[in-house]
Amino acid sequence: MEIDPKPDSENAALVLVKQGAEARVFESVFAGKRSIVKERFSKKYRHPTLDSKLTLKRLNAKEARCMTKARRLGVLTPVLYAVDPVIHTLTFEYVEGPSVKDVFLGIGSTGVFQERLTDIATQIGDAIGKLHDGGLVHGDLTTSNMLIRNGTNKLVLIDFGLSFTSTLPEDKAVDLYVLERALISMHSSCGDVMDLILAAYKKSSKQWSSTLNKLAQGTACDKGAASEQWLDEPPFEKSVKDFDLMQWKKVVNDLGRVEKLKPEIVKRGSSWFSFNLAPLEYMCLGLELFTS
Amino acid sequence: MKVFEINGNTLSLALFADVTNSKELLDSMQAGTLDPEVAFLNASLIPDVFPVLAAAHKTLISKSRESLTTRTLHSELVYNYSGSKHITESLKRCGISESSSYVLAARFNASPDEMKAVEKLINGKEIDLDEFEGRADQAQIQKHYKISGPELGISTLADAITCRIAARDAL
Repeated sequence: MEIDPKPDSENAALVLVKQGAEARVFESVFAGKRSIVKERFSKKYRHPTLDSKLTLKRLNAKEARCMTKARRLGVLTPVLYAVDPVIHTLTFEYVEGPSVKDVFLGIGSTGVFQERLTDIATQIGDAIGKLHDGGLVHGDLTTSNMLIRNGTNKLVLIDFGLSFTSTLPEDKAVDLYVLERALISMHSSCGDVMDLILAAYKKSSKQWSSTLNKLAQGTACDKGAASEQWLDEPPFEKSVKDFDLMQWKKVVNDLGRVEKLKPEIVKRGSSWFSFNLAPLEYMCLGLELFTS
Repeated sequence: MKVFEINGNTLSLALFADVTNSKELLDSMQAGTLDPEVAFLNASLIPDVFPVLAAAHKTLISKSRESLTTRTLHSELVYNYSGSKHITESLKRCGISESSSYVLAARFNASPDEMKAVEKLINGKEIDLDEFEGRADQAQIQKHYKISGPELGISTLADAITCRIAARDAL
């Protein structure tokens, strides 16, 4: 009788890979395969009801659901191995390979390999187009949430913690906008990656035109905000909520942490978030920014 | 037969082809007189051993929390492998039927003697677990797990099934 896999490789201690604001990520072994365990923890400063809503439901139901939905739409995501609703963990396949962020930063410093850049940008645009046409918005499209699998060089999207289903062009445009800002702040040395991505997006998405229209509007809005008089003369008619959003965009931009905080804030500002956030939540967000 | 280690427990798997007595097996299983208790899975729905291990992992977790959905540990394995929440339907499709001839027998924490007893229960030819891939019924799998064309383009059948097993309770 042979035992496979080796007993001592099982139950391997969890090794902390990364600690984020909302979850810890561990490396582990699942039934003989290298795996990643994502644990969402509760935050004691939040109201318990809000906390359970954000911690439990978002991770366990939504993230797993959105990941499998993305796969069904033909977008590569890590294989989901297990969902544990009691201890709030998700277990995924360990994807071997660098993040797009590292690849792009490497390209910036070692000279441009246009071919590789084009290949990755095309894959990104294609993947986002498939997601959006299927009514799925990733919600946190940054280059660190995209991996390139070793060997096949295929793009794998990770972190669907902020994903949701929507068919509104606004939501899809925000998704692209987040990516655009992330690219501008992190990878300005890579040139016009966003154009390559959008070109691939146009090819892959059937509804590209309404989404890109909204994106253009948002960008125009942003240019208005960047000029210094935005506080005195809002460039467009804005509700109080939008105004709040603008202020936050500016704060975050100034601090240069767009990549990390933007999606959270952009979403909190826009109307899809179902409950109103008290100013305290904004303060907490600010605290996270300074402590993390 | 092969033994896998999952979270400090073991799962012994034995694969049989040309099984002739599945009606008897089904009857004694339904009567609860099967000795030792063992899970029979419809092996044509299994393209790889890994989804079975994922289902076993899930089963052991609910066992450790005393929250089994079905009556026994082994029926829970069959239910979990189905990726569906419908118990009767799951046991019918992923378990064996009177006419099954290709069967996977699985038992948790089995002693070598118990597995020998299991082998005696089944009238069939024991084959290697490597045969899963070649013998799986792809059309049936795609239908049962609702695996679309675009998904197959990027993923193997086994990965698609594993995702469905893991995400069932979240769907």
